[in-house]
Amino acid sequence: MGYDVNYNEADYAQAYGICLRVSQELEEVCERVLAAQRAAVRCQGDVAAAAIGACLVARSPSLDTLIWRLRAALFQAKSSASESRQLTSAIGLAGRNFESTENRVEHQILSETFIQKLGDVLQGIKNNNMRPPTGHMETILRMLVLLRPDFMLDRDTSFGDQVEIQTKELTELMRHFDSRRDAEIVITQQDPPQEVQVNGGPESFYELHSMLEDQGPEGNGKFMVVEVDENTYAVILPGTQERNGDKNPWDDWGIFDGLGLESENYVDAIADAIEASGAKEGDEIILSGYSQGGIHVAQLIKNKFLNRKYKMNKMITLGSPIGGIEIPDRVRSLSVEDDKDMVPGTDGTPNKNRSRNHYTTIFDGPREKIKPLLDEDSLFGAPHQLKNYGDHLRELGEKPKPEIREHLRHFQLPKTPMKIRKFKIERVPRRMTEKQRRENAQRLKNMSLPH
Amino acid sequence: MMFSATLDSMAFQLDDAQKTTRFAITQLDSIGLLTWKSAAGRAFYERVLELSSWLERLNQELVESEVYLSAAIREIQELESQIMKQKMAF
Repeated sequence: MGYDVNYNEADYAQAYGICLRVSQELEEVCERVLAAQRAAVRCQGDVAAAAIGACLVARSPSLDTLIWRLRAALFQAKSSASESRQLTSAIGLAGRNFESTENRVEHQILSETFIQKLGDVLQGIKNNNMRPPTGHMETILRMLVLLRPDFMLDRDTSFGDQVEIQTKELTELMRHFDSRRDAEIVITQQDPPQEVQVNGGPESFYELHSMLEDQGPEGNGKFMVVEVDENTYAVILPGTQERNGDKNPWDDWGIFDGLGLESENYVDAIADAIEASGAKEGDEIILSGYSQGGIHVAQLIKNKFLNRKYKMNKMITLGSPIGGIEIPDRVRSLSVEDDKDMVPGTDGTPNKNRSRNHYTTIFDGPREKIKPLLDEDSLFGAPHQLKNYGDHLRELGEKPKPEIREHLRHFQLPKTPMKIRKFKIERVPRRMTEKQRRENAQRLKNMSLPH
Repeated sequence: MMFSATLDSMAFQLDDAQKTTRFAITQLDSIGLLTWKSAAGRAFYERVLELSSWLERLNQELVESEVYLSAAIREIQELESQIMKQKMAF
């Protein structure tokens, strides 16, 4: 926002989580101490009763002192629990207040500078081969949101959330009129396994992705599972492809499935492919997606069914609009964006990077040496092309900034040959009824994560 | 021993309360690793430190309670043998 607020959103959120857990633990301590104190009182009574039965008067002085000390401990535990609850509430409120203030300020600034911003956006589009750069794409969506009367009054909600709500509403509306809503996604073809060798660095993911891009009509609908080692597999999801008679799940409708259905309809096919590749329960799955594939990656990484079965802790996205998708803190994520690429801006908000495990690296347009290899006339322009992201991954591997070096280490692949399997998926008429599908979706939503 | 079940349960409750308290202290300590630059943030952190010191005292109280529990166990064993002897005498 251009001003210093001495506020670290991630730290406040983390402190809130810690205080909340401590409050719960102190409630537990209170229960334990109270139980111990009651047992001590009961024990003293039982001792006295047994003694009377034997015509004796008996009492344990140490037990009396223990009862007294436990009363004091209970008082301390209760006071501490109360203080912890107050701290939890204070830090939670501070976080919420900050967020809503920030949101109101953002709305106010955009309202007041609307005309000027519009001019900037038009100039930006003109200078970027008639396509809005990432930041300007976000501004365009924010302007559209600002013009919606119900959102205009709700300034406490962030632009990112408002764009997400708008996208979901639009998706629902379109699903209502489109026949693809009644289709399910199944594997229709499995190619023979192949062996590939990559250089091991971040660029390796480009090498794998490039095996799925621009493969002609034969390559439509395909994604890939890579056997990284005995217990690790990588799932490589492509960008948007041709419709192929509405059968191809990676067509433009796939974007709506990703944003509106949280990619739930891809789960079964992808889980089947992972299993067919030899993965066992508890194995690690790395998800990597380019463009649309990145939206599915961000949704699938938190899918409850997949998380019950596999260790889903790492993801990579290349040029994907995932700012509106909550990535769990436990997930180590690497998102690569090009600020001249309009596609990552279609979520209306920068990536949140809430956790210290989440990194988004933004490059300042394609490098000069790669420009001649890029096609300026492609739908989203040269900056969105996979080759450009491949070059950014190469740059990341060659000159990693110190703060990201350790993070990148977790995404290294072996230099030895790895087995890959390509799977073709297609939309086919649904075998389940709509009611069964809803029940199944509800079942998957209610499924809890393993502890 | 007539009262061993009750005394064992007390020992378990105290041990568990102690472990949970120590874990809570460790968690509060980790708040110190976060960034608190603003006056409000620092005030919050000071209260966290104070809560942590309260928990240290609670932990100490629980440790001392365990000492009294051990003494009480010995006393009750003694009383039990007296009661048994008296009953045998009848």
